[in-house]
Amino acid sequence: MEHPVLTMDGISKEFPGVKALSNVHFELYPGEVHALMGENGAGKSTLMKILSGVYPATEGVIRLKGKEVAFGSPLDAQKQGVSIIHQEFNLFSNLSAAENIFIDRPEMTGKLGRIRWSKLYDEAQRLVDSVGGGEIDVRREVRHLGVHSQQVIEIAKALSFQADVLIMDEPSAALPENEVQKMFDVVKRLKAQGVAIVYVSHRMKEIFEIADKVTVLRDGAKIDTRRIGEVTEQSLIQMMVGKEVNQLYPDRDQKPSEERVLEVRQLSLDASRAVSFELRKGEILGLFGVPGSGSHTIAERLFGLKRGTGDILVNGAAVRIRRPGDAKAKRIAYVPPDRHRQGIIKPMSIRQNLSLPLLPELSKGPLLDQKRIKQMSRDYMDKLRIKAPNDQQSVDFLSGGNQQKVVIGKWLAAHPEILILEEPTRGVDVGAKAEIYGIIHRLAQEGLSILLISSEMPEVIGLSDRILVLYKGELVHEFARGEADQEQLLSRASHPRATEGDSL
Amino acid sequence: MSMRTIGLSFKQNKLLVQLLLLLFILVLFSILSPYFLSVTNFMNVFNQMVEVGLIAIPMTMIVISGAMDLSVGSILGFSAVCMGIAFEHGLNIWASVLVALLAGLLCGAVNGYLIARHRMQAIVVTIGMLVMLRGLVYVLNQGRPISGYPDSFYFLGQQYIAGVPFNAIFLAAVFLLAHFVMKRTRFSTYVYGIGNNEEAVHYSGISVVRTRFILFLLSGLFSAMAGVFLVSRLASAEATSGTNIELDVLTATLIGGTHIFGGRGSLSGTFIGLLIIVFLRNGLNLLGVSVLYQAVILGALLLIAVGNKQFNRGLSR
Amino acid sequence: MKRIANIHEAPIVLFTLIVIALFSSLSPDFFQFDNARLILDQNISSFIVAIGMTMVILLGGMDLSVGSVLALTATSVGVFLNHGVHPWIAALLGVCIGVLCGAVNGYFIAMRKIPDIIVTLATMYIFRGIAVGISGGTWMTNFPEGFRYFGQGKLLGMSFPLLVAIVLIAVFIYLMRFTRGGRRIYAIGGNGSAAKLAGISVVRTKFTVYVWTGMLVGIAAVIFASKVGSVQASTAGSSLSFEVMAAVLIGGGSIFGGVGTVAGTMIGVLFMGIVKNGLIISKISPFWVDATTGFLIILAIVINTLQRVRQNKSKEGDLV
Repeated sequence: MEHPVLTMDGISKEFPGVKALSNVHFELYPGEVHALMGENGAGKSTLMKILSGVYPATEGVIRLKGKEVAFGSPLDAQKQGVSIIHQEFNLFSNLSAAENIFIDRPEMTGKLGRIRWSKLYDEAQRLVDSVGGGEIDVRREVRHLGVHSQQVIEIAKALSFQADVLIMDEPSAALPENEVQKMFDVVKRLKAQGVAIVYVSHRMKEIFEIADKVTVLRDGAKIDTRRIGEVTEQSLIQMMVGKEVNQLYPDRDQKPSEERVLEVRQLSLDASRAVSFELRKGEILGLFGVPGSGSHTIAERLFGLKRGTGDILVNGAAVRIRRPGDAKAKRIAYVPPDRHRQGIIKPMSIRQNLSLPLLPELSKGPLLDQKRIKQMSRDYMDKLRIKAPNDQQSVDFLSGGNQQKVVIGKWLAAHPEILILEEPTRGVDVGAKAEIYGIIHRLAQEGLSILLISSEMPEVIGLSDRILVLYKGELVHEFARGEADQEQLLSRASHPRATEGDSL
Repeated sequence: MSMRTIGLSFKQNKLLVQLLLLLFILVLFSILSPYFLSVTNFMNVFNQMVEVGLIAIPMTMIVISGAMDLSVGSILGFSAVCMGIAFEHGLNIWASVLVALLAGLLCGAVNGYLIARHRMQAIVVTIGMLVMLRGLVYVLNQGRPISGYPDSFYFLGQQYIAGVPFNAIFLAAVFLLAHFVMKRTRFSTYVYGIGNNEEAVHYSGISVVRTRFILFLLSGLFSAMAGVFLVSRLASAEATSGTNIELDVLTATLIGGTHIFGGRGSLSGTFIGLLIIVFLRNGLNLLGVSVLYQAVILGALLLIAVGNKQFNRGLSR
Repeated sequence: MKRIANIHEAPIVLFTLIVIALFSSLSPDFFQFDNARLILDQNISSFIVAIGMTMVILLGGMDLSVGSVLALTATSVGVFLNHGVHPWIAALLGVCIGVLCGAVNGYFIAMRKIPDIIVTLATMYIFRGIAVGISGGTWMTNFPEGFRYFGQGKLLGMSFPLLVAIVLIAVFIYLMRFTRGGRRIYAIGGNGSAAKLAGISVVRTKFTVYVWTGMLVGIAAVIFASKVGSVQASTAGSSLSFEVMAAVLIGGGSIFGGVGTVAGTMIGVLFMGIVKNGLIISKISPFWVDATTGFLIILAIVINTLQRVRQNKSKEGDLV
């Protein structure tokens, strides 16, 4: 009977006001690929951060090869044999691949701190070769290497620490399709070497191809661990989704009109991929895709944050959107996914934040029209029920939900015709979620056309009149309202375009 | 709510500390030098503060927006010499003043173009301009001073109205105007916004490029204006005019409570910072302390001002 | 051929050759052995200081105070000598003062985390002021015969200061290229957060770099004082910081940190020296020297930014 290389027992993690994980048990055996699945916010990343030494658990023990361990830092975890490869690599683009693997390591230095270059290059090449990266010249600077090679370097770095456990966070998200297979080969080699791999991914197809076991988390708790042969895609999705309460979502009975407000033709997402779709007046169009699908790029293109080719037609007229100001002039508004970085300006007041996009209209010449600004900000505070003593309060002190309402409000005040919402309820509590959903619904009823980009399936399903599913920069499916459930949605989003006769 | 009051008392504390520092300097030099505490001396100080004061206005805005302009002293010298040369070539003195202002605007535009439009590092670009313009100043006038302006021109820097120097009145008026701008216009909201979160401003459909460009343009214009006043006050345009003025300007700005990483600051604070600097300089002058020693004290003050902010920030977090 | 083009320093070498050709055509006195030696000789201090500046810029920082540290050190050495201190001990004390100045910069930048630009701008004035103070505002001259050796002596038939410079350059090329400490500097400049994750102490490395820089400036100052034979505290090394900064950027260093080599910087210094010398020898006004330095700084940042844009472009195409 083989012993687990890693046991996480009774792991709980509390953040101020939130219980992110409760009593999670997780076991990992040598030479297995163990998929970790769950919806956004299910607790995957919290669990992996605990395992890789980013922060400690509130409760619970971690045992590595039978011994209880505590990780003080990611480096500490690495030294003890647990390495993580983040979606965004931690590489020095200005240094050679070999140095990246062995940066600042005592075993590579000789007398007087002299680096033993030949040993370093040899060892690095050996490690890279051992994971099938033979074509990589470890003397080259990392900035010259492709994404797959960079990933191999990250893996080699982990191996250089004699990793027993390797966590791979969405390893295929950044890879082009043809390199995913190469990455699988690497994973198989690692497996053969007895490394235990935690494979965090949303992509069903990959999970069934590469994983031996799968553990599903939901709402901070472990649902189950199964052998991959014991589950089907359907059953996995059911485990992830659970029983959903649907009263969060308002009833959408109204039919949107046929009037096309926005048409997008061959809008380029990168050099090789482009999408076309249309948005009707008063419609909520859901756009769903797993990380790397390109849904964020669509928003960036429509709002002028990124340039490219293709036609955008607003109310039938072709428009050129080269910067956010152009989009604003065409009455396109964008509520970005990262509220803190892109949405609010923290030390500034609610009033200043709400009025920011609209200031040219709220001025007399260069001077601010304080009366109208005040009126407008009060109006939207009431309309969106932003809870604060007054609108002079700094947005710093608001809850996530109220901050998000400020971001939505600042764009509503600009009277847009098209509203792009990306992750509108990220980091927002349930009560505020329901409120925001109510707002979105009401806005659509009032005739606003909404493009809803979200990675939260219930929200996309609950709100959208139509749902477009994106997979690696391609629109692979369209669902009408009521047609999709989470299982179908996820299944569509984790596969390339279905072949004929395969419609669900 | 309590957080807010803490924030407020903090702000008041800062102002209080600045005023106390000013008072301390006034009292100290009143004791140390018999010439310090007199109307004549004070008017003299006000007469001398116009150059630093004028440049401190756009500098405060630029630092609030999260950047810095180290080329102001060289722009001052460059504009002053341009004016002198234009005048020597027979241009009317007021037309020459216009030439100076245009020269300043041009320098500011170059800074702005590189920094705002092409997102180059403000510090390096303005250091480059600092060195290059100073070099050009020497190239233009071969290092000799240019003087001999008409009397009407000296009005700007030497005339007193009801016992108060004209240039000080002018500075006060510009400060009030700028203060008004920073309180009442949408431009100021953009400046503070950029300093706090440039990306969010960009995502609000506001042109960050344009705002930054205008800031550096203003900096060029005000530096040139300072150059004109300096020439009028000293009756001569010299190649060294404005050298090291950035130390005074930055110290005044940062002592005045403007945060080195941007986002926070006020012109009223800068004004007090300015008074601290000019009275300190004047007092030290009266005590016969050499200019380079004064630089030591100013440099130390700069370090303390920024180091202290750091401390404040740590507390408020 | 491709190998040569791939060398990091290739563009600047090419650039230098073009400038040499240009000045050679402008003045017959330029392309002479004696003139070449003069250029080397005149720029010894810059070579040495530029080593330190390279490390600072590699970290993504900047040091505006090196000129003032040079003045302070040179003046102090002058004071020691005039008090009859033995030349070798005076020189050693001078280097120690350089180290001390570097430690002051390092303390505020690394430990107190005040932006490097503010710290070194402040210390630029502070050190300069102290230098003028201890010199009493007069020229320091009348150095004893024994002190001349540092700037004008010969060892094994070679100029002593040149030898010192060559040794220092070799040592630092070695340190930067072949030792753990040197590679740490590259790592921090390349990706600070990844360096922290790899367990590198950013604070300690930064502090050390400023101390090393102080030491190098100290050595440069001793050579400078001995070579020139007289020091005026208020002007010595007044444009050194900017020139050396330009040299680093022209030599291929990136203002964003992480990219650059000591060898490239040395060619950058040589380039600046050649331009200066050429402008003077070609009877173009010496006043153009400063203007050219400034222009070169701006040119360097333009190239820097273009390179960065190009690098970022190649990264695009990842869907998010």
